[in-house]
Amino acid sequence: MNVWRFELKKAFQSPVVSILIMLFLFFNFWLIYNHAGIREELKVTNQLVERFGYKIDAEMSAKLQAYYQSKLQKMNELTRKKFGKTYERAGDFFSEYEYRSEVLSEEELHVITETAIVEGYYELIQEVDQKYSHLDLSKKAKADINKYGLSGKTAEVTREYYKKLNNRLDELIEAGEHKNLFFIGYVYRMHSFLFKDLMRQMIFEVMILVVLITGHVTTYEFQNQTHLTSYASKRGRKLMLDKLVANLLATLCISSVILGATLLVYFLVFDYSGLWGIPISSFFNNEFPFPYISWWKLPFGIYLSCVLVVFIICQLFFTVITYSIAVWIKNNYLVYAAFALLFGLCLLVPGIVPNTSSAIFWTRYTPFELILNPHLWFIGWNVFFPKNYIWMTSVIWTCLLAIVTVVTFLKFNKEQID
Amino acid sequence: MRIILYELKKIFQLKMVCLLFIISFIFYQLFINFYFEHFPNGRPALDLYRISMEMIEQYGYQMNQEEFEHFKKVYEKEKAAADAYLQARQEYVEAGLDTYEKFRTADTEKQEIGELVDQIIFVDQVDLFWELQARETLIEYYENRDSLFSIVDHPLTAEQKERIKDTIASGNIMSAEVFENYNNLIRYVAILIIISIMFMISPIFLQDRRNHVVFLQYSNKTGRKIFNLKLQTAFIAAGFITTMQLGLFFLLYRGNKVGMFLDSNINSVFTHEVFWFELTFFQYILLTIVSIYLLTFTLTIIVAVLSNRAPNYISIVGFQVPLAILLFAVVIDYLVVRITKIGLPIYFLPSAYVLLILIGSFVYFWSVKKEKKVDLLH
Repeated sequence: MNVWRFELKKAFQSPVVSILIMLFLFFNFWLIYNHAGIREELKVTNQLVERFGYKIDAEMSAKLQAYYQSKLQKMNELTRKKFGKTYERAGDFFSEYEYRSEVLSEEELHVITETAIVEGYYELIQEVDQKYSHLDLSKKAKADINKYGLSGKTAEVTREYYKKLNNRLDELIEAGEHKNLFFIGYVYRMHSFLFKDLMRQMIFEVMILVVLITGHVTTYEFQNQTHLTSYASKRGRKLMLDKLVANLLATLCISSVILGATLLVYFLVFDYSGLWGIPISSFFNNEFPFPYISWWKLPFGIYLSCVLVVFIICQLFFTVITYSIAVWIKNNYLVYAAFALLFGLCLLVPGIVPNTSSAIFWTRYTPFELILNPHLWFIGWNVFFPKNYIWMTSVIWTCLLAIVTVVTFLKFNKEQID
Repeated sequence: MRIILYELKKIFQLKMVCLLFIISFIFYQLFINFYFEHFPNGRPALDLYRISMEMIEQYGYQMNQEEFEHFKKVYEKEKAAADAYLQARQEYVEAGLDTYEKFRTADTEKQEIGELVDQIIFVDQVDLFWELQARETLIEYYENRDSLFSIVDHPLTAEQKERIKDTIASGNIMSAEVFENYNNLIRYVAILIIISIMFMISPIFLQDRRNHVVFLQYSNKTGRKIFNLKLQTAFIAAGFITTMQLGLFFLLYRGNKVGMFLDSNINSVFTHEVFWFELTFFQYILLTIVSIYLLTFTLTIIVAVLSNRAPNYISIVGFQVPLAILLFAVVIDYLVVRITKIGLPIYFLPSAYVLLILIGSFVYFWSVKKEKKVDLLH
């Protein structure tokens, strides 16, 4: 226990670690701050969900329509008074809006904006069925094959993939998973913002810190020329094992600090109350013509937790990878370079294997490739995101790294360290 | 001199040089190669590039109203050829696509018409039709050249207006594809050079201090002068690395075949860019090179001094993370890519250069002075 504490102290005594943590948190808060302009508009969604629930059915739709009509009426009363004009749609008002900006008070403008948002929901709900019935995944398969220049076996895999995704889509439509309210993805892009911009930024930040710390702690004795004393002590070479544990603990610490602080601010700024149970495959979450189809029914809260779990697993992988390199190289400067090279190589390989070989699929099962698209985890997006992608990558790399660590230990135990 | 040679040997250890090669190779593969392999990137970029060359061949580096009329006539002629092409094909006549005009405005939402259009454009990739599209784009640029006045977000100053007016009047011919391609490339090359320098120079002092060599160095006859000598070594090494990287890059860049545009003026309605000075593409390239050198020398001195003050490798790498973010995300955009663009004040680039040199010399003299009196044992 004591040894772990001292090893952890080595990790955090460097001022650079705390400076970097502060700086990264500042970046994250800055990103959130830049996006925060829409927070008032997002609250309309929470109100709607509170009023009508998030499940879209005939009854709810009718209620929403009545609500929308009353809102529109109120708005028209206001505009008649102010401009002597009424509108059929609240959206029409905004095409003429800029000339009138001075006439309206903040509050009045708010009424109109709110009406426009409710209108957006009301109109989009009418489109849901049509949008999903027009989805043709075999067309998407063809497009993918063209886009990536696949042929032969790989093209077959692609068609197979979309058949599977199609089954899932049918199941999803059957269960009405898509018929749920959420922030309008086409407008606000909250899914991309949270899971792509913010999450990916955090992944890289934590990765940088984790690699720096792990390289430092693992090679500490060699760098400070204390290795002859420490590895000759009673604890002996088992000290390396303690270092591994300390590194993993440090990774968990760093991850929780960065994730905890950033997500806390995020959810304070953006109100998700009432929306935690809404499936991620909801129609309103979509941001592109092609919808987000999660491979399982994942409510937002559970989806977020799953993403966080994968986040931490990936960081633990990076810790062990750096650790193994460090035990072999013993100079942490070169360890950092080696890690960067490994990262680059793992991204490079899928790009240069021929398109006809199935290697283009399995070479992507690396944590390095995985972290590039956190917003597509557990989601069927294109042929490179199969159902087993996340857990297969985790399992394969857990086994792989376990073997590597054992080999590393065996080697280190008998190594001449003089 | 001998010390500098020994120090150079220490910087260019075989291990480090090999790693630098691998880093550069991977970086080229991941980021730079794309702009070599895919230049011009698809169509109509290829056609725009070709036609720009043709324009320079026919009209020289400037195009006046008369030549523009001629250019339009060529377009009309090709349009007639396209009409003939369509009329010679039964299925197009039947679908009512017997002239290019109709073909262009056809409603591709309708499936059969969409397929017929796709057949020519994407399946057969008929050059004539792509070329027509490219010519339309260029004609449009020339005719709407007044839109250059809106390339700056904020209200224009009198000087900016003057520059834009000059550009519009000049009728300079330059290919937007070539210019964009070069800017993308030089951005990544600058990033690669910065990474290379950080990687190679970082250990320069730290290594000695971790090995406790510094005690021997400072107490022998050369004494603390060696600090200055090592800084000079860092400059030589950085200059060498930058030269090698740039040399390699321009060697590969020759494959992009832009020789014809080297004498083109980059202030052009066809690239939709205006700069403060009447630079040719070649002069612009030289200017970016000068910027990169200035940037790398300032960076070298900062990295070297960091290396002298950082207690261990985690600190030196950790402190360079924000520095790298700053350079990649902000500085390169202002100091390497599209320099002297009209959106920034005219004196921005010269003052940036002066500032870089000032920062560099200040850090240099300050660190040399400080090192003379520093207490090594603490």
